[in-house]
Amino acid sequence: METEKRQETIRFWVNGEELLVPDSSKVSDLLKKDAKIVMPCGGNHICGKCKVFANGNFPAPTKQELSLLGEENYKKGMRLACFLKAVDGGEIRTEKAFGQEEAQGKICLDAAEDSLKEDTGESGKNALYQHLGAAVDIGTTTLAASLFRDGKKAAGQGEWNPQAAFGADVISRMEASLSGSSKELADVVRKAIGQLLEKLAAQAEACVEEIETVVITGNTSMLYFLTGRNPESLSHSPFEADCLFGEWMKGEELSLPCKDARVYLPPCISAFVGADITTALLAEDVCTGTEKKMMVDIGTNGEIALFLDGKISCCSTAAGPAFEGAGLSMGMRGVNGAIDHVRWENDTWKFHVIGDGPSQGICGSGVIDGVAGLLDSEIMDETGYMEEEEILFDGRNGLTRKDIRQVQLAKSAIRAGIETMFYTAKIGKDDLDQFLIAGGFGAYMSVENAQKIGLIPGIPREKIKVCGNAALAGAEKILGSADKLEEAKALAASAATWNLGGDQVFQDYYMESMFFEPSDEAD
Amino acid sequence: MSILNDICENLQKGKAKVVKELVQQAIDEGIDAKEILDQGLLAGMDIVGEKFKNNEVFVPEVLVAARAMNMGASLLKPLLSESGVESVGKVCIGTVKGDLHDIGKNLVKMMMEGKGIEVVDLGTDVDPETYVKTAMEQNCQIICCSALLTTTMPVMGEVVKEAEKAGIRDKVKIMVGGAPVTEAFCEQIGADKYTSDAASAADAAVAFCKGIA
Ligand code: B12
Repeated sequence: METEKRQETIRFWVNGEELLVPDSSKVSDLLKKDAKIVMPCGGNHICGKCKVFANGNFPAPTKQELSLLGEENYKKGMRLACFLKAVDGGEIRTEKAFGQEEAQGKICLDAAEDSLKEDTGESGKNALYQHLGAAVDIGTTTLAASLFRDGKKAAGQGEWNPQAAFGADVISRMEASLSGSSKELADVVRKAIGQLLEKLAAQAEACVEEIETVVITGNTSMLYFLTGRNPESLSHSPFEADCLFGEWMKGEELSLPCKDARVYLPPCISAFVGADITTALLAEDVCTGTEKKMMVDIGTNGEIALFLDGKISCCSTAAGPAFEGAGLSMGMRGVNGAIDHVRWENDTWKFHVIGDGPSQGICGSGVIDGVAGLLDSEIMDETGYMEEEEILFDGRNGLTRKDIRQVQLAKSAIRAGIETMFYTAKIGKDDLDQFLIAGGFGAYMSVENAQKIGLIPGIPREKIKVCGNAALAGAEKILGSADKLEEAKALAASAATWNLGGDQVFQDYYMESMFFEPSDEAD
Repeated sequence: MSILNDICENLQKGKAKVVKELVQQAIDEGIDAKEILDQGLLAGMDIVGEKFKNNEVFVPEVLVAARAMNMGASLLKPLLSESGVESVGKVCIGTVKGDLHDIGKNLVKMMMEGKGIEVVDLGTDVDPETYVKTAMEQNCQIICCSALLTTTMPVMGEVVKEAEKAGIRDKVKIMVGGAPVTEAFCEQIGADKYTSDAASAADAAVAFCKGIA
């Protein structure tokens, strides 16, 4: 531990705003406060994504910083926030403040908002609110919310999850929480939800205080962070959550602007299969009828649920954030400047960049298309090997050899999870009546290319349903009906969970699924 | 000698059955077991390791190659111990407490075995005391810890402390690895060596065992 020294206060500028801070404050901490930056690795000096423009008397970068940052970026005046300490009179500008991103076309948020266009139309007599109610989904990457008035959807909106400043994946955020930031983690997300609700209320020409009920869904970790619970039990083996929610709180307790509102947090299934899966299953009526159904949420923490003979089983298969662009050398989120689609056609690359300007990186849907294109062009073979060190789809951004290896680890984790479920349940992909793809990312990726690279099995297209943000839709259903709340409870209580850690079947499939092969091999 | 070449080639392709047949053939032809091992099997594994470092081949290829190597080596083992070939050194390896990720650890183990090191595999969820106890009881020169979760990384620091407590720090080197581990982290906890991939890990272990590092 460092010895406490008396620290002087210095003046420091962040995005033009003057701050009085203790000398040598970590710049990343200053930026985290208002979530001005995204730090996929949580400030552990690993990913090199927290680039900022720096001006002032900062000491020269260490070798480690320079290699992560790149000589070229250093020359442009950039530094990595996780390495910098504030100096008197110094100034920092974030490359892309949240404010800038906001007005632009963004895949993730579009997806969140798209789902809002449909009205789930749930307006039963036994709704959990009388006039005004809201539903919120806290995703690891994005927040989405909708407002209902008298049984009708009145407004909807998406926003980034500001906790990204504490790390891209849930484990990094747990680490932040365990090392003293649990209050900040709760504060930033509560504030963001509060702002979302205010925006929704304004859109609907209502008063935010009038919201009577809010249903907030999210994965288990997100609900822990929201409520400020200590995530110790989630952070290491055997990963048994000491709280699975399914409880009522008051708006005030979560610092929401609708202080008197009743807030319901739907039940989680396990440490890594959260309330978002409970509500997604509810939204799509997965757990009813006699059909065999599987639902997959392709994301950092890929969840898979199988409904068979009246029983639901779930598992989670930690793919990592490759499909959210993190961890890849030119990866970025689906915002302006991201290559979101690529195709190999007539011996050249056809590509699309969000916002139509020059590209700044590549996002998840572009990665899936890119890998499929590399296979089509035979630049890469099915083992993932390519002669070239990197392929730039538009001359600026693309995939490197190393990126492809990351994609293999991620896609194989999802596929192996799916195959392990089939194997254990003794069924094959052809036995399924429906295959549902949930989550924002799934709504943007090309299903055809996902099958080409073997991310998902070769199930006929007509059996596949892409359902977007089903988690939010499920929270809306609960909001609209007390019966659905009971259904959610029963569902979560009856769900079986499988732990893939140490599972030999999973490991065999994991190796088998690593290659990029069209997914038509038998079960 | 072309049969050794064939062994080397087929091992790289992961053709376990062919490798086994060829090794048997080489034995029958009277080629020295040590020679078959070095110039056939280990030479092949070396090339695979090098390609793996350069991202030319990936985890599955390394695993099938290692499987082929083990098949071949099983035939050689009795002959080798007869002629009294000594191993390069001995290490114990495991994934730290709280963590069940073992694919990377297994690769490191295979690569080390491919370099002629004897490896004691402690499996997953290994607590600091077990590493140290094993190293002492089995005379290991190196303790290798793998961690894939940022929340379990700190256990590696505990292993270092435990080794200090047991007073074996001057005799036993500690190597650390796994995706979230970095050079800086290794230094910070006072471990001896970090490498980012399994092939380099094996090289480093050989260097330690031979006392060149
Ligand atoms: C496969 C996998 C799993 C499998 C594990 C199967 C198994 N038997 O190992 C399953 C599905 C069970 C799993 C479970 C979990 N996982 Co997981 N998993 C992965 C995944 C996809 C790949 C890891 C891997 O095997 N890599 C391949 C190997 C070859 O690489 P490697 O281990 O790094 O090893 C290389 C080097 O590091 C080095 N090396 C390794 N060890 C050593 C040791 C020494 C001494 C040296 C010198 C070198 C060295 O050599 C190796 C070869 O070159 C990663 C994400 C990713 N894309 O990387 C997540 C990931 C590691 N998992 C993660 C998480 C969170 C989990 C879970 C907690 C959550 C969950 N959803 O279930 C559980 C926990 C399980 C447990 N009890 O520990 C997170 C960790 C995040 C963090 N910040 O810590 C990751 C990064 C995904 C993510 N971003 O969310 N996982």
